[in-house]
This record gives sequence, structure tokens and C-alpha cells, in this order.
Amino acid sequence: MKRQRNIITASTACLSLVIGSAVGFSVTTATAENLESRDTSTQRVKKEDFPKNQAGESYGSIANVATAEDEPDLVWTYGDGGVMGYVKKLDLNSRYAQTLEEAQKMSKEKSQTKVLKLYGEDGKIVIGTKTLGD
Amino acid sequence: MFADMNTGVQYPTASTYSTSRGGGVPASYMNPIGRSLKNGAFCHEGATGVFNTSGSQRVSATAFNMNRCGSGNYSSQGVVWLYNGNTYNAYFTFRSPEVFDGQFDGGGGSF
Repeated sequence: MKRQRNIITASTACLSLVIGSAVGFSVTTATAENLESRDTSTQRVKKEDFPKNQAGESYGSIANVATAEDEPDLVWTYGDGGVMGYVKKLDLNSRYAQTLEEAQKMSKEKSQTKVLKLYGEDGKIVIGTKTLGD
Repeated sequence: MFADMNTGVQYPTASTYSTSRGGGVPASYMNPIGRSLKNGAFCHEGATGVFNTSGSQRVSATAFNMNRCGSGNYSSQGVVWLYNGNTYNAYFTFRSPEVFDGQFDGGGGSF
């Protein structure tokens, strides 16, 4: 009788351990998934994900884009004097070479400061400037 | 390619490193840019005139004064413009983790 009770106790303990391990494992997995979904730095944003203004231009932060193609038309930025606004992607990228000849010219010249217009969300009203330079 | 940000210096830097897996590439095919963001908004970018030399496999560029948008949480992002034989296309690294910079606390704007 006593031996039977010991066997039942041992079996219950083993079963609890198995269930506990399974529950523990599933909880750990769920937590890892939750953490991953909260990590916005690993989520790439596409151009079509951005909101658009009345002129149909996309606007927003470039923080999580992967290529220049995915950049919004209006890039959210800090302008001169701390004013927040948008610079046009075309203006921003015009600083870079598009051909090998331009690249060779740029590599020989000293980088120059460039002042871009800072726009509101509508992409029309100029609210300040954004100075860029090395 | 990868990017890093160094805030332990007087003029915080953002560096971008670009390496070709296929061996050396012709001159000016790779153009790495350092870029900083504050609280997710674009702040600054620099080292725009740095290109790889002929036959090199690796090129890096370091941009300075990347915390010029006032106090806040800064991160860096590497951008590399690569020539495809016709034009340049830009590719971005993931952003670095954010670090708080209070050097220009109460300030802001362009320095």
C-alpha cells in the first residue's frame, strides 16, 4: 500500500515537471515574440506606408527605411534654430553624385555647405531652412 | 555595410563602412555617408565626398558634429550610394541604438 502511494507521488511529480516545462517553454516563446514585435528598429517601412498630403506627397520619418526609394517625398527633420519641418527628398539627395563624372568631381572638391528649404507638411509653405555641410 | 556612432568624443561622429563581397571595385563606385537622427527625425549627414579608390574592396567615411540638433536621443544610420553601371542607388543600414546627448541642453539648431 505504502509502495503504491510512493509510485503515485513520483508519477504526479514527473507529470507536474513535464507540464511545468511545457508551460514554461510556451511562456518564454510568447515573451520573445512580444519583444520582437515591439522592436521597431528592425521593422522596415515602405514608401506606401507613409501618409500623404493634399498634393499626394508622402511625408514622415526616414528612421526605418531601407533604401532611397522607400524614403518619403518630404523628410521629417530638425531645421536651423531647432524648427521642425520637412525637407524635400529630391533636395536632400541632390547633394549626391548621380554619375561617375559627378563622383570624381565631388571627391576632388571640398564639400560645400548647402542650405535647403524647410517646408510644412503640405510641402508648399516654407517655414525655415536646413543647413547641411560636413 | 555597417554604421556606428561615437559619442565619447568632443564632436560626436557617425561612421559608415562599406565592403564589397565580390572583391575590388572600380573607383568611385561606393559612397558611404554618415547620418544622425534625433528622436527619429533626420538631424544631419556628412562625409558626402568620400568614394572608394580604384580596386579597393572597402571604404569608410566619418562625419562629425552629428549631435547638432540639441539635446535628445540620438541614433546613427549608415547610407551607402552604390553605382550600378548607370546611376547610383542608396542603401541604408538599420539604425543604431539611441543614446542620450545633453551636450547642447537648452540649445538647438545648426552649429
